[in-house]
Amino acid sequence: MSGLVLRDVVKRFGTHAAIDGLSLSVDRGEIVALLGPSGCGKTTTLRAVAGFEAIDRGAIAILGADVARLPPYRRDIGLVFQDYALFPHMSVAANIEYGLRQRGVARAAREQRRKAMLRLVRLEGLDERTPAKLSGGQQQRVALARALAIAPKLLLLDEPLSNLDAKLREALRGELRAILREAGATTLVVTHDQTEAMGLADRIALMNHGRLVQVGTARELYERPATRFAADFIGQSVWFSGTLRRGADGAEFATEDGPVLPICDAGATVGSLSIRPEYLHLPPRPGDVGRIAVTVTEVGYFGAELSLACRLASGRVIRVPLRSDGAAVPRPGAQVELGVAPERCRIIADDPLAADAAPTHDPEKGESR
Amino acid sequence: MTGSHAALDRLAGALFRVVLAAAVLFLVIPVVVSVFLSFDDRAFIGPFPPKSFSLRWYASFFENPAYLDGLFNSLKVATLSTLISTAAGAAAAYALAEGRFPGRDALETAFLSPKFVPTVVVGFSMLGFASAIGVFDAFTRLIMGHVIITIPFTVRATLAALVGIRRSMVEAAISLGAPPWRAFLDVTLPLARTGVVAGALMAFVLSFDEVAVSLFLSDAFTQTLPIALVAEMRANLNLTVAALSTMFAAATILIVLLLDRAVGLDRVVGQGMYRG
Amino acid sequence: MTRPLAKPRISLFHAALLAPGVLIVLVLFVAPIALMALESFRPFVTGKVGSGSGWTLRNYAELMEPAYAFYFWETFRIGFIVSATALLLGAPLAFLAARTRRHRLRVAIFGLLIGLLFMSLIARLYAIQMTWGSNGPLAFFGTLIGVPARSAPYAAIQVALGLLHFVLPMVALMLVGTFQNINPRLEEAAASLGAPRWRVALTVTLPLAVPGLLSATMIALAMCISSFVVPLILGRGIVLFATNLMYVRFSDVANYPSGAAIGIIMLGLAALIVYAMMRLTRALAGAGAPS
Repeated sequence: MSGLVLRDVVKRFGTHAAIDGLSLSVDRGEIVALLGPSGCGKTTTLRAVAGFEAIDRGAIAILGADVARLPPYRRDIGLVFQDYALFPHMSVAANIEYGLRQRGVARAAREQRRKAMLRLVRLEGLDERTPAKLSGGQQQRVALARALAIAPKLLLLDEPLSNLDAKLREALRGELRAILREAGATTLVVTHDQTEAMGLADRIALMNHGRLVQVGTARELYERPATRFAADFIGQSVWFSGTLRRGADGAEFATEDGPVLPICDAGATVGSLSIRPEYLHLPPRPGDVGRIAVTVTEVGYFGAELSLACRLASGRVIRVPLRSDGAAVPRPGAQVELGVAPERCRIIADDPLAADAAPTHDPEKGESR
Repeated sequence: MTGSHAALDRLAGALFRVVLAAAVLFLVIPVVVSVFLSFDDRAFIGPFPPKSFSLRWYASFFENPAYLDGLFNSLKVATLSTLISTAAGAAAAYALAEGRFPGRDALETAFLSPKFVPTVVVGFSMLGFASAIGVFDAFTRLIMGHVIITIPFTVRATLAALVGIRRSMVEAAISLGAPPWRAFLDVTLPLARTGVVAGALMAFVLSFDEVAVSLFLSDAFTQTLPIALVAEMRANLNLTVAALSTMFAAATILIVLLLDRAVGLDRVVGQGMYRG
Repeated sequence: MTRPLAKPRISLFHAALLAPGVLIVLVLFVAPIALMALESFRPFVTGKVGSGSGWTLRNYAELMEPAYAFYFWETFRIGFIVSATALLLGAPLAFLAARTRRHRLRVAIFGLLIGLLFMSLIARLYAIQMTWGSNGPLAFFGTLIGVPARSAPYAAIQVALGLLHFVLPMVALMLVGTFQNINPRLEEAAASLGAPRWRVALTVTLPLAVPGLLSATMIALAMCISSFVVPLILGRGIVLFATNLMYVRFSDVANYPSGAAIGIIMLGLAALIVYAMMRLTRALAGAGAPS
């Protein structure tokens, strides 16, 4: 029995379909991230699963039971809001025990559970504090404890780390995953941040325009993106237009910029070539059969990494990262050759469907590189 | 150039301080004078300052049946109209805060509109209306008039507090297993309470001090304190009003201190978008 | 993030909550005023309490006559002067309260203003009469400006002083909000560029405060022209506002229709001021200034 099943869910606001035929299954105890740009429908999906939005078509089942008729307070879910939504007039203890009180749990049992939850989120001793006196990270953990206290059938997290500053986010991401693993609840996390998704979830469901684009582990999505949108949204891509053809030594991709790159296990047969920037090696490594001649125009220093702006023969400039491990750094103006292995070149179909068009605005993308 | 700038700056600063002092003095002096005069021993209003002091005017207030009746009536009217106005106003504010229906904004304006009508007009029209529908009891009329002038304040104060309650908190309660009515009692009500109380306080003070409406709707037997005061002062101007003034001032200081202790005057006025 | 369902209808629960309030507004506000409006078109029959039948515009025409128009004029004249003065006196106080870092000072100013709002107006008015009147310590003020305290025109001055005391706390509190919503960083930026404080105030703060200043002034004006008690007590019968005229028409000659006509005009004026204020704030807000 699956923890959560969505089948062909459709939700419309007027003529606009926020959720456009979504089917997803989350195993019991699994953590799945619903990832996508703003406006892709992920938040609507979360609210529909929670029961705060009614769906127009399709079915939602939690632990095998269809919940369409059930209001949110009877679905036995735990919801962690983006703004944490802690009750300001109640102490941390009262907040955490709130769900248990609704279920008629006796005081002693509530206390015990509350203490266990505080231990789980590493906030022991803060029982009597009020939310106003807590830091952002602490508030988030209390919100989590409150949702987990009732041992919900399904845990829903709405952008859990987005309200925290960058450094805190990184620090808490690991902790959050540890807490979720220990709690063992079936979890659905909604986020627009790919690093958050990759750091928290067992599987990622990539969404755009109300539909699922690809579902898989972080590795699957990163190494074998199904569509152009997926390749761009998760990680970064260097794109080449051109055609696939049969060359002397096997399949090869003739780019419009000039270089011809050998490929194996192409993926699609018609489309654009996508290469993850970190697989463009300077100097070329053994196995990097493909070569791209470029002129380095700019070297950006970013501490652990350098960013090289490389101009192709066609005049187009691509950016390539280089680990600063003490090796020689090319000077601007230098003419060098980048090497790339054939397995790292994927052809991705230029999908004509509007549903797979690249997102118009993804502010978090740059940060999550 | 800095020389003349500095001089101008000092001049501007001095001007600022002068106007500031003028404003504060203007506001405070009459009250202080009144306090002094309330203890004046003379039987008439003589030149300021008084030379001898006594409590005669305080006694005169408490010995005057017209004043005592007026006080009693004012308290009755203010309490009852505040209760009605707060109950109806807070309920309406809740529906306005939560509801999404056509005409919602127009309805909110309708509730706030009596505030913009001169109280004379309210009193005058209410008198005609009450006579037309056969309500001749002064107390009932007074309640009618006072309820309508106070309801904009109870609605607005409650609405302001409710709007500040984030939806996510109510939804959080619901997601944890509380049905909507329970979420209302546990989350909305406690958080809106300051708004409701503030509205009620404003309503009470407004009703207590109201003259124009009460003037039209009182009669010889049922007068509110302000009316009794004006009538008595018309007849024989004396310093009893100064004693009353001082008592009011003392009560006001108490209320303000309590308000600061309970909520913090900073919060009452608000801190604006750029918190200090 | 929160996308509520578009509900076209009102829920029963909400309707029930609104019902008492709506009933109150309809019965205690709309009906009386509608009745008053109707009455204003009825002729007044002397000697008969209540009015005659038929319709007439005489009540309104009467008010256009100089004798009555004078009262409206006086009302507005004094109202404008007081509103402008309240703005001038209130702005520095409000600015100080908004910008000071001393918590005690801010609380003290708020305490003073809120306290005055709560304190009985009547008590304050008699206090003003005793202070500025012919026996009071500030009576010399009248002689200073050439209108001795015992003279008849002094009544207008006292009314103005009373209105000012009524309106100033409210204006000051409103302006506190206005100044608080002007980003102090803008003033700091100007100062860092070398502008002295008066120049910062004149060229940065004031222009940004204009919508707030305007709305505060208009609210003060509305409060002044609607005031009944102040001219009643301090006017000593010499100064009459349109509001007092309403009362006089009714109490002295039982001319309800005439009073009703005055009431309708007052309503119209109040509505006009509110409307003008909304349009002005919207127009100015469109230009990017906070209110």
